[in-house]
Amino acid sequence: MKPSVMKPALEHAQCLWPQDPLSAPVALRRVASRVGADRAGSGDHAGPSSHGPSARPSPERPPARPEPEPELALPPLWAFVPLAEHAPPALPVSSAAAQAWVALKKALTRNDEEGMAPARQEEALRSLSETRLSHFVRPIDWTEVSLALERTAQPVAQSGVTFVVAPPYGGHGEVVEAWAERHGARLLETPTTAQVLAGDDSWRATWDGEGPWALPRLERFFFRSAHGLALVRRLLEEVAGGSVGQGLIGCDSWAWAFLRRVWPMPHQQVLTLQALDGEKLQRLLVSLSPPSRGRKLLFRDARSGSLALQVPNEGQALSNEITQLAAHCRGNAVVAREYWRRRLRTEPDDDAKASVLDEAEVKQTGEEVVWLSSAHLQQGLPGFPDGHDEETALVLHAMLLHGGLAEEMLTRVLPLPHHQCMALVLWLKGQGIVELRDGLWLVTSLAYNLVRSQLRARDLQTDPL
Amino acid sequence: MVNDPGNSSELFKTLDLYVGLEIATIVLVMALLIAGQQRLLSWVASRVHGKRRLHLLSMAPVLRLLLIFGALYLVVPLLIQPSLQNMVALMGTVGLAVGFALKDLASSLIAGLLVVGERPFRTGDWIEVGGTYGEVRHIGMRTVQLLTSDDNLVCIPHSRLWTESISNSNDGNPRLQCVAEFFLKPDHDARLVKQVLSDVALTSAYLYFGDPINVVVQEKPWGTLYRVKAYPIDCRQQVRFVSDMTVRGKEALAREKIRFASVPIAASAKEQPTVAGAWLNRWNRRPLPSEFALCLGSSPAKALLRRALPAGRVRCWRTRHKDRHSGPRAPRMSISESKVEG
Repeated sequence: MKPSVMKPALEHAQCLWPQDPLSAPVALRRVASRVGADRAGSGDHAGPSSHGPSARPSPERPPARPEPEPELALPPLWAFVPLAEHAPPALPVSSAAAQAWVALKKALTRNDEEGMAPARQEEALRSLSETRLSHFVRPIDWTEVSLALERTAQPVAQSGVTFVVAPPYGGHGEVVEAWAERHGARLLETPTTAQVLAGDDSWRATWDGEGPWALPRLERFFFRSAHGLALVRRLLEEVAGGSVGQGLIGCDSWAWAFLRRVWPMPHQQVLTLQALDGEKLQRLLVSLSPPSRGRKLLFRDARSGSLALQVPNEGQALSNEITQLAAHCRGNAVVAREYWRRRLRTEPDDDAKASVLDEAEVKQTGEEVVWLSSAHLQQGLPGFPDGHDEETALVLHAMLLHGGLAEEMLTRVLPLPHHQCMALVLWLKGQGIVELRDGLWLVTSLAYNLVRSQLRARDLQTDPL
Repeated sequence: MVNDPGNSSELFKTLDLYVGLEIATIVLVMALLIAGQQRLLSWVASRVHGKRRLHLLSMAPVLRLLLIFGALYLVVPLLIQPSLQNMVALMGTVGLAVGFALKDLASSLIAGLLVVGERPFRTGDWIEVGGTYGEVRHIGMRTVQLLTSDDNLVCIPHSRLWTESISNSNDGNPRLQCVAEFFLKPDHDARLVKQVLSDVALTSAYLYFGDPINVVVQEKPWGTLYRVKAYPIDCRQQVRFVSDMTVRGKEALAREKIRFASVPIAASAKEQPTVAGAWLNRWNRRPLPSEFALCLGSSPAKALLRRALPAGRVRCWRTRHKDRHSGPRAPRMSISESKVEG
């Protein structure tokens, strides 16, 4: 970092720390280790004041208090940026080539059963119980994420409407709800299916009132049918008119791409959560699996045995596993977390003896090893059913565009008869590509990226993220 | 020279068993390579989409031509002495024979070469030649094969390309414009209908978002014609796309209580000739437009029209051209004022 930018960055980091507990402990540990390493390596005992004018101690400050180093200025884990600045992490060249080769093989062999089979040595490992999984990988705290909204360069406007756009499982609804709770904003009611199709404005009752408001899921305000757009058009017209006060609207990125066609919104403030790169994903995963009773958690790759993640992270270099995971999930925290959860394995401990031995080993070494299966990263999307690949793509696209669709709406938005829709949906469910959640058929988080790439290859409209 | 009988033995080489085997092997290998590359490219193309698919498909005729030239390059020196003199003599003889006996075949072959070179269409394009509209499935040495939307395979000799105009709908692009037509009675809010039909196209699952949607409105003697123009994601979806827009457009317009233009004569002529006659009489009393076309499918309707209208005012014809999107048109009947005056 150049000296001229050191101080602002440092101040930025200092002011962020109290608000960003996820980055603070890691940063402190890193600084401690780096300071030690620098001193040992260079023999420079003059302290940080020798690193540049911005770090020079002022007369008012007590000289005994060392200033943190510029490396402290770790970027915050969560950051909202304008939509155009969203940058998903790229795969390393070797990984990209390997992935391209796998994709080519998949394109040439429709149903690659061999490629889907797990590695032999990994079959011996056992999946973790839900209890242990929830211990190793806790849920993401969306309140923490929503705090990042306050730190954006263009914070939520005091008067006017800001959109928060996120890919599926990107948590736009949760972020908006958390923001509304913190600011005492009114949560707008979501219209029913009948209201959307009839263009019924009775849902607006919750909109009329004083103070800020929040609309967590804009994708619930339209259907892709000729009579399913009137309501969202009126809503967006009012928003664009600027007469609705301060508000925050959450919207799925697929729905957003479609709504741009329905109602062009060139001058609105649109924010999105910046994609997590490998380094940020490492910090997130560390924060999601806190060490207990002084144990050190070691996440190791089941095939190579290499260390993917260590908790607590004591200056561990970023592993290729995490970099690949971040790129594979396009920096989507929830999808990455789900992949991580599904990959966790443990040694088989069928008998109590093994457990006792394991416990003893943990006590002795203070380390607990959790294995990572690589099957989920290598496993691709199964080929679509022969002769129905186009219809299958349309079904998946409709689900993504609406952020999930109820069974009765599938037929209304798709040019397919009900029985064919359901046959495809149930086939997709059997393959683990879609699931029914709260009455809506959704693309699963694990299948999302593969579905997205399939739809993109077919020239169907994809989301901007 | 070939005129000199004494030199004829120098033109052709002596063929023995080994040379014959060598030529047969070359021809066989080339034939296998040609068939193999065509199958391979088709197979790979069926697994990709969009432009990549069309690029792969368009490579097949070029590769085949290269393989054929390669085979000729290897075979000709085995048969003749490859001197300039001999080549001129051989080509003169072959040209003479072809000019007299195989004129049409030669014309098709040469036109086939031009098709590969000029590329007025490629495999995967949707073209119309001589009233036949379909997807180019195969560009052979002599013919081009079109697969129509009615699943008919039509073989068109390349020689027809010398004289016929070729209408290429997509010209190597994965998308082409589709048109869905709606015939409505004139008493409606045209702005509302235009918006509804635009939304019908916008909400079609087959729509490609990168290209614009246009709704063209034309006032006709019988009402208003709306033509919704939009692009599907893939040109192979054109029939399904138009059908989808038509089905959902009818549904959306019916919901807005927009009435469709209809001709009662077509339905009632068979069963209720008096009603049809009364309707025609009403039409007779009012000034007819310069051209008025009815879509009629039944002979009784035509006969009734002939009886009900003055002679010379009815002209029937059957359209030759297949409709691009909906197949053959129904027979049309025209009541023409100019005909009356004539």
